[in-house]
Amino acid sequence: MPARMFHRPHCRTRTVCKRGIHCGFLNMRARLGRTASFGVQGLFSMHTGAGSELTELLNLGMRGDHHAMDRAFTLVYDELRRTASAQLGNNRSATLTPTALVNEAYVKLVSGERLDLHDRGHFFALAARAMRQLLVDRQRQRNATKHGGELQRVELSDELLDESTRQLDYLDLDRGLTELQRIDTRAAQVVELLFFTGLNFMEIAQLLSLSDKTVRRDWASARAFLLLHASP
Amino acid sequence: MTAPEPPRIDALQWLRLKGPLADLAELSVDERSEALKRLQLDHDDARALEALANHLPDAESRLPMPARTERVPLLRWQVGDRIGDYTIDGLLGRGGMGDVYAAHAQSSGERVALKVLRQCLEQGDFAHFSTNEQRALQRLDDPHVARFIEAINLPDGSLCLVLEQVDGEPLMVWATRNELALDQRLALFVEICVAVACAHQQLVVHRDLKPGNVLVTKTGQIKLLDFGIAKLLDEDGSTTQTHGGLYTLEYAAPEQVLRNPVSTATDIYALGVLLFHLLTDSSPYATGLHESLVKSVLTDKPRSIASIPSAVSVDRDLDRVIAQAMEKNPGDRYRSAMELANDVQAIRDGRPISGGGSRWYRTRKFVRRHSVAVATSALLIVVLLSATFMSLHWAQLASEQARVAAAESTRANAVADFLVGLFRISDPGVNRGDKLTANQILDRGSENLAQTFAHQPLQRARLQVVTGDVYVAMGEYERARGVLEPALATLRQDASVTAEEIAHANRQLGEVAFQQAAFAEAIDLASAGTAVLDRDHVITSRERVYLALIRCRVHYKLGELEESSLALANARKAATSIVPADLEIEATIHNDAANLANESGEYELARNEYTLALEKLRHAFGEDHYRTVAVRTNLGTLLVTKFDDFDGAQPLLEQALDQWEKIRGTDSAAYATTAGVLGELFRLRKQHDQAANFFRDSERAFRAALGDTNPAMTWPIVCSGASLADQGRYQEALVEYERALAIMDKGLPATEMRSNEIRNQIIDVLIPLQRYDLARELGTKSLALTRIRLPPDHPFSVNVLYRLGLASYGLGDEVTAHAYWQEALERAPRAFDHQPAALAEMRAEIADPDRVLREYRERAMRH
Repeated sequence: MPARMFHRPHCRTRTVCKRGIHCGFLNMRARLGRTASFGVQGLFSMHTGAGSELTELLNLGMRGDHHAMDRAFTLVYDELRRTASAQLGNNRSATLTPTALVNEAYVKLVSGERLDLHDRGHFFALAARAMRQLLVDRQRQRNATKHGGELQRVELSDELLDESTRQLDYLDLDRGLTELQRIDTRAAQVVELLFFTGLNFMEIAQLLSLSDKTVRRDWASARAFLLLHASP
Repeated sequence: MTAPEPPRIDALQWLRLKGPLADLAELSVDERSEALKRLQLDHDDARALEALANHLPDAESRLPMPARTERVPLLRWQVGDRIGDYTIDGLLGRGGMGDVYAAHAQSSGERVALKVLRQCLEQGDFAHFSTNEQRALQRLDDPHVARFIEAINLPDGSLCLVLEQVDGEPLMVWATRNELALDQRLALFVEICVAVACAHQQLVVHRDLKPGNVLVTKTGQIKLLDFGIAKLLDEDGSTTQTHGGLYTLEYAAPEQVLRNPVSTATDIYALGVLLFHLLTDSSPYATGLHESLVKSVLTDKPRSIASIPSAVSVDRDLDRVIAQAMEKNPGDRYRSAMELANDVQAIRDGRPISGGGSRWYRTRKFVRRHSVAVATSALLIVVLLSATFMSLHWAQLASEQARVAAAESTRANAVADFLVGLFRISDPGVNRGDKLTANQILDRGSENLAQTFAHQPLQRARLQVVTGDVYVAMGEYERARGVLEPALATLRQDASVTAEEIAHANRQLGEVAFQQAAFAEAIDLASAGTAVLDRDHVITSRERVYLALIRCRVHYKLGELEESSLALANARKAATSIVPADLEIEATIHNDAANLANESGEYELARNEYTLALEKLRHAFGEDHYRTVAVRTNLGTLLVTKFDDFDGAQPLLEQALDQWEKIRGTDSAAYATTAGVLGELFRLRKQHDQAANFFRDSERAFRAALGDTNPAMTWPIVCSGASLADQGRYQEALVEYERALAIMDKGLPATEMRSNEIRNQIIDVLIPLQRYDLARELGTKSLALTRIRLPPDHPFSVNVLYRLGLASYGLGDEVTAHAYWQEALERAPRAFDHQPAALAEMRAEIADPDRVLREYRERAMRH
């Protein structure tokens, strides 16, 4: 008897995972009806091990348990915040690097399990959402304490850097993204993953089961959209 | 920056602007303003796009887009290079999709074209160009289609397609150079259509038909290029937008623009555009520019060819043909390229065209009529409506049942292809002038199965199961049996088949057996199905629920209520493990629970359960689905027989009867049942003439549906007897009853409860006929059986008791009579809980048995 590939039925059946609020993972592969046969290669080295709390919660969440998904989100969020403050120490003006934070959270929370592509998609979607929240919260705090605050720059990998995106602050970005989510969920997801997890185009393409080119085109148009909405 | 308030972009506008915006990102700043002007957008779109484009990175810090970062690739090969068996002879062209080399095969000397697909991203990209698809392309053997020879994976991950090298001129160049007249152009077009139809019949869709892909050889023969290859270029299916993309959108159908699944209908659309070009050398939409073109493709009607100065014809029929081919909704277009070719040929011959006319109209009507009947087979609907055979679409639909989706998507292609094949049978090119019914199509399809899959028994079996599903949904049980039996046998023998698949076949066959009143067989099949699931430890399965429900229904039909209720509990238990909850299953359980409650005399519960089932089914399947109609019939029946709620029941039943006629025709068991209940309704309203009509119609329908000996038809006969008895026509009633009993006895021994009911009815007429002896004998038998089979407060027992009392009284045995009546009166309040009139009537009759017997006698005498 062939192995059952779909042990978590409902997530595969929807274009957007039921837990759209926190995880919002667009499951393109399910939409295309193909099975996940390859993973994100060379991203992390993982060993099989006992299920962590997070994967447990993710599994529950994907089966429709709202509380579990909320708790998964909190778990990721707290982890990110802890790591961030440890990283920053007393240097409040230092810049946060989402990539490093998310990677660290991943290593800690998933604790050496092997996640399949689908689960990884959920993790990164969740992490991106949590990271976004974290950075927005931080920005708000700073703005509150420093009267107008100091611009917290959006830090991106070199590939994406250019002058105009550098001038976005996280609140602008958050606003623009919320706007974009309304009209183009996929592009918004691409942007979220790009900005807040540090995944590159190719990795995002694999997670979302899109072609690299589609992801790039999504980014190109989404970027213009965000800047347009962020412009003063 | 002092920009004005940014324009608010809504989702639709974004959909229109997103593509061009990404295109613009690939251009330099100067090129952008140029391109923007060319787009000729309406004011709002232009303003929004310009505002957005201002935020694109400038040329210096341009985003690393693939088209830009990749330098224009150097030629990969030089003359004389060897790739596999092929030696490069030179360069044929450099296209958007990649370079094309001329080469020849070392072994055979054949001249070929090597097309290198430049888009060499990660390897997964071409992974979906499966061996199956390659084989399908290789099989595509048509003199008018450039042959696909093979695909070679190059070491760097790009793909090299080996194709027949065609020496010819592009269609429009040839047509213009030779100044072709209208008739010659139409003749060429018919040839193109035939070639496309031929490819469709072999289940290959071109996806990117345009004049550039049609060459005309020196001998004037057409050759179609790149069949089935377009899909490799962009997995989004937006091939036509991929490269230098501002003008190639011209041939894209709405579903391509919207990124919906592509089908044969997509090619039909492209053929419409191609015909327009061939006749006018111009585009069917007034604009040739990307932006407004997207809008036009989605919303505008093609122009009239008469409006184009360069048109070679002003024939209105040609406009109609083009419009028909270019319908926005794929399901509204010509159903096949042959149909399109026929109409164009008709114009050449000066015959009237069918476009929008009879045949097409018929087809559409057919789809509308039968779409209800086949609603369970979502797949078939898809095929009916859009001839879609994309595996992804199927997988998407099938993933409603996600746990089986894995298995189903792997066989999706074959199944979907097969079904497309079925509907190809309705192609006038294959089948001229016949009026086809869904049945005929399916029948021919199942005949084809045996031939097409002669060497793939497993595939054949799976397709037979799908066909069986459709037959069951249509109520064609004998036909369903014909395909399901061999399928089940094959599936059981194959170790690779999942328990669930086998259980599904078992379930469907069990359903067939149940519907054909082959109850023992149904139980066996259901048990076998459950056993297979047990064997493989499949706990969570819809099949488990349905198998339990079959047992529940069979036992219920046999009057074995305890077993039935046990099976229902099992079904409920199995259903709780299915997450997320499934409306269809829940509704089915409600319905069966209601049936059971009905039989156990718990009518209030039954009414609630039916109402719940009806509610859920309406949500899950809509008003016209057969399962919705079935529950509606059941509820109507309950209201008539147990609540005397005729006004509530009549609209339900009349609606159901209409729907059954539409869904399954007047020769179906479902129609028969509903007609019978309506007859009963009129009988109880004492409108005996109308009742008699319905009973006759019901009996006729049962005979037509189930044959002359099926016990099911005894029911309207008994009812008709009851109607006669109501009118005092006892002798005639007795004839009916005996007729029913005779059929019943010829049927199955397992139907003794039903025979018993008839016996009770017979007692009812024996009393007025003063044959008290016989009445008491039958009644005693009936009571014994009733006491075993039914709860003591069942109305049936009360009725038997009451009749027995009357018969005894008639025989002068008052003591016995009162004993029976006393028990009847004790049980009656609960039995007739919802029929106070019946209760009062019985009380009054027991109070004055002499009057009752006298009245019976008098009424009997009158006839």
